[in-house]
Amino acid sequence: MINLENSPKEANFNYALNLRYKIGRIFAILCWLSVALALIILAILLIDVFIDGLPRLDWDLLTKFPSRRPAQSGLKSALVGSIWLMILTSIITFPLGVGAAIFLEEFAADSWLAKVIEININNLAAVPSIIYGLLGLELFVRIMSPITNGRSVISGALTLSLLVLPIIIVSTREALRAVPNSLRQAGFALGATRWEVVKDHVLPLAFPGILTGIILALSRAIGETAPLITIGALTFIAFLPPLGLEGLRSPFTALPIQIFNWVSRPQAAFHTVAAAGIIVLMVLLLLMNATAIFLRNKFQRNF
Amino acid sequence: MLDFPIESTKNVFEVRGVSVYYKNFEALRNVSMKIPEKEITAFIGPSGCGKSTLLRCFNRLNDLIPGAKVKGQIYYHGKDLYAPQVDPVEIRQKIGMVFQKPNPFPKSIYDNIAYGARINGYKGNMDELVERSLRQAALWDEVKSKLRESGLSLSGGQQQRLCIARAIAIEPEVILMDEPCSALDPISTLKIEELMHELRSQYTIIIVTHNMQQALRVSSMTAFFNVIAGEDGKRSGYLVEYDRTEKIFSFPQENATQEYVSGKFG
Ligand SMILES: Nc1ncnc2c1ncn2[C@@H]1O[C@H](COP(=O)(O)OP(=O)(O)OP(=O)(O)O)[C@@H](O)[C@H]1O
Ligand SMILES: [Mg+2]
Repeated sequence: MINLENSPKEANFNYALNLRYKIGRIFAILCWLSVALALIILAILLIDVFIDGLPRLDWDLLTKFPSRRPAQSGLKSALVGSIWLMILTSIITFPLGVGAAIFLEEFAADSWLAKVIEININNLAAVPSIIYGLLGLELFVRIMSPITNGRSVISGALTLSLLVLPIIIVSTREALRAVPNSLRQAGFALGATRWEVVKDHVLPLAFPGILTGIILALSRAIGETAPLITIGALTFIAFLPPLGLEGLRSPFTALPIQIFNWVSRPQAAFHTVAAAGIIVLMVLLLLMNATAIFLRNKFQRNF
Repeated sequence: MLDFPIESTKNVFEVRGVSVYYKNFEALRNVSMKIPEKEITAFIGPSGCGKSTLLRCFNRLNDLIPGAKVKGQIYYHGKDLYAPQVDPVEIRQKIGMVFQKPNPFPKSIYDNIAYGARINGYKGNMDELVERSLRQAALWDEVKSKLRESGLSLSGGQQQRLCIARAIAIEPEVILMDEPCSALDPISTLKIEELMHELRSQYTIIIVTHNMQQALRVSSMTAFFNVIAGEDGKRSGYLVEYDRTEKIFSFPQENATQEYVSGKFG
């Protein structure tokens, strides 16, 4: 301890260091408690689902189609359907969402139009998912049915795309905004065009953040039930969409719908299958998040 | 304002009645001056008087600041810089800039230098260009063994020299330097000043500096800027005096200049 007793400055300051440390500690404990609370709730949910679902968590679950008999029911078609939806949704939303965000943030700058679009997008991000389901039903299932073949994989993917696009645009803009302006200026001062500045300096730096936003948005999409039910995804499908373009127009089901269907059956055995399905859905979600973290670390340059 | 072409030299820039606004705030008021070719011109003046603002007008970097507006004319070799048909990208290839705060790219030291040359289609040997630029900026010896490491791993002063090397690598005609030595030790500062002396035969340099001695040592022309508070309390910068450096420091016409260069304020 440094002895400041006789320092003349002592009179002008009330350091109260002990109190300040104490406030810091209390804050840390509060933060720790909220983390603990979240983890405990998650653990209880997990344990509950695992106890219910573990008896049916077997290979059959993944490789069998749904059936009237709970013991033989599987979620093959739902799992494949969900994977189809995720892949299609990311293919659709990545270029559109990132492109729109780049345009708004880097090119349209402060224009009047950009501000109107910005307000709209922020509002769209908060619209309940069932509204998107209704829009998808009218637009993709009914009006565009000659192309989409009605209640098909592509209709579902387009509907989910509508749902996540605003989220992706908002999070991508956030990531772009985090790139310091001095870097853009450095690029421009060397005679780079706007596109070169975006491509060479802004995007590489923002990319990990953009990726995180996209995966979070997709994680939301994979658990969405309401819009898919609205557009009328089937719940009993005993075939897989053929690989290739024809598959896009095939009817489909998805994990949350299948689970929802099982849960609403009266037989208790189906509830066990549903719990097992929830575990599969959760593993899929964790896998997606792990991919996000892996990709982010890969692209996060050491510079 | 004073109007005196230096005998027997051409002017690169001619500034006519330039005022710069940030939204409604007039940061710089009615500046007129001529920047001679292949000379070093120093901008001095108290903080906030608009030196960086004026410097950014020369390579149209103010275009990128939302709300910034430039009134008046700046002629670059007789052509209006702000005419609608002028492409600012083309301008910036010829007019390089070193910023007040070092801003290296988060890329390797090598790529920091090579980037500008690459996008501008440099046809020569890139390794040679990188080495030459780093040598000129007095940084080569410190980084030659770690060219692949990040530019951000350098110290602040080294980063600033990296930015200088980056600016001269694209061989511009004019180099705008905004306090290039503010983060440097006296020895590196001296090296940069030597570099400027070396460059003056080929380049036109405008340097902003808070260091009177530096202005005296390197520049042949000096412009002194000051701020005045308007009725609304907003402070606008203006050009007080612009003349040959010896004159500014020895026989200034204005009282304010006299006080500033002798260190009475600022
Ligand atoms: N991007 C900006 N937006 C709004 N106002 C600005 C901006 N940049 C500068 N200003 C204002 O313009 C005035 C001049 O600023 P400038 O940076 O040109 O001063 P300076 O002479 O370079 O000062 P210093 O010596 O401290 O670097 C200041 O009052 C500043 O607040
Ligand atoms: Mg400045």
